[in-house]
Amino acid sequence: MRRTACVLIILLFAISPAFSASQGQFYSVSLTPSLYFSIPHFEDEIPVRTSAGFSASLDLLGYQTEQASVSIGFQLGTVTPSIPFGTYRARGFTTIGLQAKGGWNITPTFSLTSQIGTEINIYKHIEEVFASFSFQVSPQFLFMENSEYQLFFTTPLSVHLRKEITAIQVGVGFRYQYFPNPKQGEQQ
Amino acid sequence: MSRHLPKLILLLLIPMLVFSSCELFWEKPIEGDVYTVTIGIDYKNNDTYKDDLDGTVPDARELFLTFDSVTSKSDRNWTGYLLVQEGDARDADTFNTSILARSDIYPSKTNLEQVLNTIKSTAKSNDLTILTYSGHGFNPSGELILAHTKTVTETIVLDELKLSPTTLLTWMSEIPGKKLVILDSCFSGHFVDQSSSSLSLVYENSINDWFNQYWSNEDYTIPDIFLLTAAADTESWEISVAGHKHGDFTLTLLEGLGWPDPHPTISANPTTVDAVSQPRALKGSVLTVDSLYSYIKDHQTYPIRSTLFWPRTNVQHPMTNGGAMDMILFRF
Repeated sequence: MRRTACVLIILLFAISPAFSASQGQFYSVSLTPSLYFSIPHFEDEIPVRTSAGFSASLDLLGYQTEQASVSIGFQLGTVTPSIPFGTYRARGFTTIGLQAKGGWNITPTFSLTSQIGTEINIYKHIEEVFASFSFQVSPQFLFMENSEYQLFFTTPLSVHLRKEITAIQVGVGFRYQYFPNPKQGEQQ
Repeated sequence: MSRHLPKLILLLLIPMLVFSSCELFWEKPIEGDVYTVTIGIDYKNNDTYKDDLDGTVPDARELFLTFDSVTSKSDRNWTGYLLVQEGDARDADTFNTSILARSDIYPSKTNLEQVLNTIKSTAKSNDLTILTYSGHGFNPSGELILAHTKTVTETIVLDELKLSPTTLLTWMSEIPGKKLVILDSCFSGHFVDQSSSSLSLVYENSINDWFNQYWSNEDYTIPDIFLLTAAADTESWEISVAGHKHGDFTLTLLEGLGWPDPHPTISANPTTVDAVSQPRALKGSVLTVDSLYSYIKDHQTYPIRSTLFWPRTNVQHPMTNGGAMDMILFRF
C-alpha cells in the first residue's frame, strides 16, 4: 500500500506539467491568523478548548522548480489563553521553532505545501517551557505574481503535537515568496 | 479558484463551528461556595525562634477582608477562617481557641488540621478552598513554621512546629473541590512540584531537558490544588507601607485583589466589603491563578529573576504550577 502510494506520488510529479512561472532560489514570509483547538489527553471539563493564534514563518533557504519547491526556515507564533469555561482555561503561549517545507504546484494557481517542524514554547504568564512537534498541510492559491515575487492566499491546517494536548489549528493567511535571482519558467 | 472558494470556506467553517461550539453550548458547571483559611504568625511569643515578623498578621487580616469582598462581588457564598498568632501571650487560653468562622483562631498545627477537617466535612466538589500562609519558611526545605502551644514553663521544640509540603498538601487534597494554596514565606517554591509537561525557567534546565520532558512517560493531569508562592528557592521579604508592614508578595496580592490604593493605615482599614474595589488583576471577566501571578510579578517591589540572560541578585521570584491549564478562581 505504502509502495503504491509512493509510486503514485512520484508519477504525479513526473507527468504533471510545469506550472510555476517563477523558479530558483527564494525567500518567503507567511502570516497566518488562526483558531487553535486544544484536544486534551487528560480528563478535562470539555473535549476541546478554543484559543486564537497567530503565526509568522520565514523561509530562509528555499528553491522552486517548475513543479515543486522545498524550503527550510523558522516560525514564530502566539496562542492566546482559551475561552474561560468551568474552572479552568488553557494557558496561552509564545512559540519559536524550525520548519522544513515541501510544495507541489498542482495547477497554475493552486499548490499544496506540507511542513514539519519542532518548537520551543513558553507560557505567557508563567516561566515554563515545553517542547512540541508540528505538522501542517496548506493549500495555497496564487493571486499575484511577477518574475520576482509570488503572493499566495493560504489556508493552512496544522496539527500541534504537545505532550498533554493535540491541537488542531485552522487559519487563513498570506504567503509572500521573493526570488532574488529569478529564472522564468515556461508556463503551459 | 473562485469557483472552489465558497466550498473551501465552508469546509473550513464547519470544523471551526464544531470545535468552538464546546465552550458555547456545553453545559457550564455551577460555581460553588468559597472557603478561605488565612494564617498569619508574628512569632512574638516564641523564645526559641526569635526572628519576629511584623507583616504577617496584617497580611492575614487584610486578606481575610479582601476574600470576603471578592467572593461577595462574584455572588458566591463565603466562609472564612482567620488563624492569627499576635503578640507575646503564651498561656493555655491563648492556644485553646474555638474553631469558628470569622473569629480569631490560634494557628497551631492541631488547630489548622481541625479547620481543614471542618471544611472537608462541608465542602462540595464544585467549591473553592483558598489557604493563605504568612510566616516563616524553613531554610532550605520550605517547611512552614506554625505557632507553638507551649506555656512559659514548657520548652518549644522547633521540629514540632514544622509543617511539611507533603502534609499540608495531603490535608488540602482531602477537601472536596478545587484548592488554591498561597504561601508568603521563604523557600516556599519547594511546595510547587515540577509539572510533568513543562519545565520552569526559574530553575536551571536546558533544551535537552525540555525535549526529554516531551518524551517522558509521566502523564499530565490537571492539578486540583494550585499553588501561588512568594519565592522559588530564595528568601521572601517584608516591606513597610502606611505605617505597618506586609510581605512584599502579599501586599501586591492584596492590590491585585482590589485592596484600596493608596494602602490605608491599619486603623483606616475597610470594614465593609464595598470599600474594596474590583480586583486589579482581573483579565477580562475572570480572576485566575495566572492573572494574580502575573500581576504580582509586574508590581512587587523586589526584583524577579527576569530573564535567562540577565540574572539578578537578591531576587524574590513567585512560583505557580506549570502545565497546560490555568485555574479560574472568580468570575465577575
